[in-house]
Amino acid sequence: MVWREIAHRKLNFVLGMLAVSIAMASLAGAFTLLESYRLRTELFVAERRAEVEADAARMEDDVRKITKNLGFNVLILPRDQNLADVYARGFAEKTMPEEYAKRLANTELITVNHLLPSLTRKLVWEEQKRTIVLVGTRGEIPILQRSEKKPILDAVPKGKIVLGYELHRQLGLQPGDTVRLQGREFKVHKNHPARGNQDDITVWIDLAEAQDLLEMPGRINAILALQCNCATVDRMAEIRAEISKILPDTQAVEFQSQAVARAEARKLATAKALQDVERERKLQEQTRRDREALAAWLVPLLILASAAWVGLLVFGNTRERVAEVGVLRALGWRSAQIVWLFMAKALAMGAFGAGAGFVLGWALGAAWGEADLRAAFDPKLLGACLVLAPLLAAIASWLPAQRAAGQDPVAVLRED
Amino acid sequence: MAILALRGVTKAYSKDGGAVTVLREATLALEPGAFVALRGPSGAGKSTLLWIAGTLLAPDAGEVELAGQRPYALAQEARARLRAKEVGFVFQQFHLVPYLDVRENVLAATVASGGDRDAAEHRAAELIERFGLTGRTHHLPSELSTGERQRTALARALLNEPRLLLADEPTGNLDPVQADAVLMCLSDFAKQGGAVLMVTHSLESAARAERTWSLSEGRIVEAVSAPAQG
Ligand SMILES: Nc1ncnc2c1ncn2[C@@H]1O[C@H](COP(=O)(O)OP(=O)(O)O)[C@@H](O)[C@H]1O
Ligand SMILES: [Mg+2]
Repeated sequence: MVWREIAHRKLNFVLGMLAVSIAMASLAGAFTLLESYRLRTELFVAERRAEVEADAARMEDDVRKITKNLGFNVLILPRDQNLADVYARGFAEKTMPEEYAKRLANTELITVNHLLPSLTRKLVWEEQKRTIVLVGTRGEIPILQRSEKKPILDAVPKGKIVLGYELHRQLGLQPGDTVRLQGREFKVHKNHPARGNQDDITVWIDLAEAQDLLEMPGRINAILALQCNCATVDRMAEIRAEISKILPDTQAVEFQSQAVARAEARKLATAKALQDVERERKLQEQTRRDREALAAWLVPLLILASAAWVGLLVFGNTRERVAEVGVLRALGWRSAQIVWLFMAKALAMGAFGAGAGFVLGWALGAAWGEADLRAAFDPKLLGACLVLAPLLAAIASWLPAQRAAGQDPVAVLRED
Repeated sequence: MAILALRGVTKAYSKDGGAVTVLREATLALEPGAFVALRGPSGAGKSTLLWIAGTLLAPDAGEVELAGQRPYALAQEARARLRAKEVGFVFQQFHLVPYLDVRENVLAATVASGGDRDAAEHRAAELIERFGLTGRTHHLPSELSTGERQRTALARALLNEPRLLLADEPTGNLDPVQADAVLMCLSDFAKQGGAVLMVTHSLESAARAERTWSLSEGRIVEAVSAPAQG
């Protein structure tokens, strides 16, 4: 009988079902969307974090290898040398005796592996009319009590010259060519590849020849101590103390090797990438929270509106069926049976509306949340819809149904 | 023993502040097999009397006894059960459920009685056949003639095998041929031991009844004589 009536007044039923569908679609859709969004955020953050961490681990490993070999580097300069000038110019202006390097090498300096004295000056290359940096270098000073090691840098042989990239490129010089520098003849020993710094306009010659050429016999302006290794954490303090004991009028500064600098840059980049991932996660979480907040009032509002709508439709339905109700009462139908007549319809509205609404909300939520349809399916949500919607429909139709059952049948039959 | 007995039934409606008394100590008794026509001018209170007799409307005073029970002493639900079991109604406007076909309309009565479904189906088929509706079993009321509608209503009224049939102008909307068929059914019902109280305007219809009462100033009076047909 309920089905007959539904079929008879399809519009009433369809409208009720539609209202329930919309409410349930909003509920199912919101839950599906939020859930797929949450899953996606979690997955995304986990993936990104794993990526960054893998990168970081790889880089850290690289750096560990590099730094293990390198130790760290210290530049020993004359005590009265202003460091600001060194950074501005690229080399030290003040000088100190070359003999310092030997003195350092001959003491029991345990923390340093290589000692490289050098003399550096900026000058105008008279023959080529250009400003260059001239570096006088020599091989390593062998350190006392140390077994002979493979030298870390090759010395420039006497009478030879090593050219920076811009110099050999612009002057068209090849190894073996002869070139004049300040009236002296040198044979090109080696051309350096581009380094993108001052090295590209630098020439390297033997230290003694440089001292002679610059008329600074026995002078140097820096000792590069390479591959320093210290036991303690405060390595600079340790090395400074050691050096100042031997060479009181020098100062030591840490000289950052590019490898270390790069490693540190990478470390920073990793930290930043992790921060970015974290920020992204927070952002997405905030978006999710915003959507949750929206859903938190929008969904109940839609559910309430649909319940009110169902109540209204059932009320309209009872008004339409006054005569029917009157005659059923005359046939001896009890109030409860008449209430059930309307409630059953509302329950059907709720159940069908829930089914349709769930499918709609599920599909839309999954599509909008870019989730897999099957993965986004939540049987608990379907269950909740199938329970909630008929329940709400029943509650909404309770009053109109009671009213219909309570009306006086005689009032209807009087129309005869 | 009377199936229906009204003793000193009084009923007044309040209207525009004042009270209109429709029934004044009306008294009647219907025995099994009785087929009584109730006449009276419009507004005399005929329908009111029928509703009171059919347990749909409580009187202000007086006693109603239906099948040995006092319906207005019962709770509403019990009264509905009594009504479903003992009373069949037929109305001038048929009052069929518009979306149910003939068979379903007839069976709507079984919901109230809560009887056995198979037995009800069987009896419905029987009534449909008896009232010549077999070819109309699956037609909606809107697809039926008025006579067929009234016969459907009659079948519905008789489904639960009541002992009292209350008919309020059952032929009012029918042409004479259709009316005749309906009156035949009522008469048959009385012959089989049921009691029929039929409100009617029409003299011809009243003539088919065994007796005629009229309602005058709120009382039942036996009609002096059925006017002879010209
Ligand atoms: N609810 C009501 N309120 C006031 N007056 C009513 C009501 N119902 C019926 N009446 C009046 O009671 C009288 C009897 O009505 P009714 O029993 O329908 O008479 P009949 O069926 O004989 O035409 C009429 O005058 C009618 O106007
Ligand atoms: Mg009337």
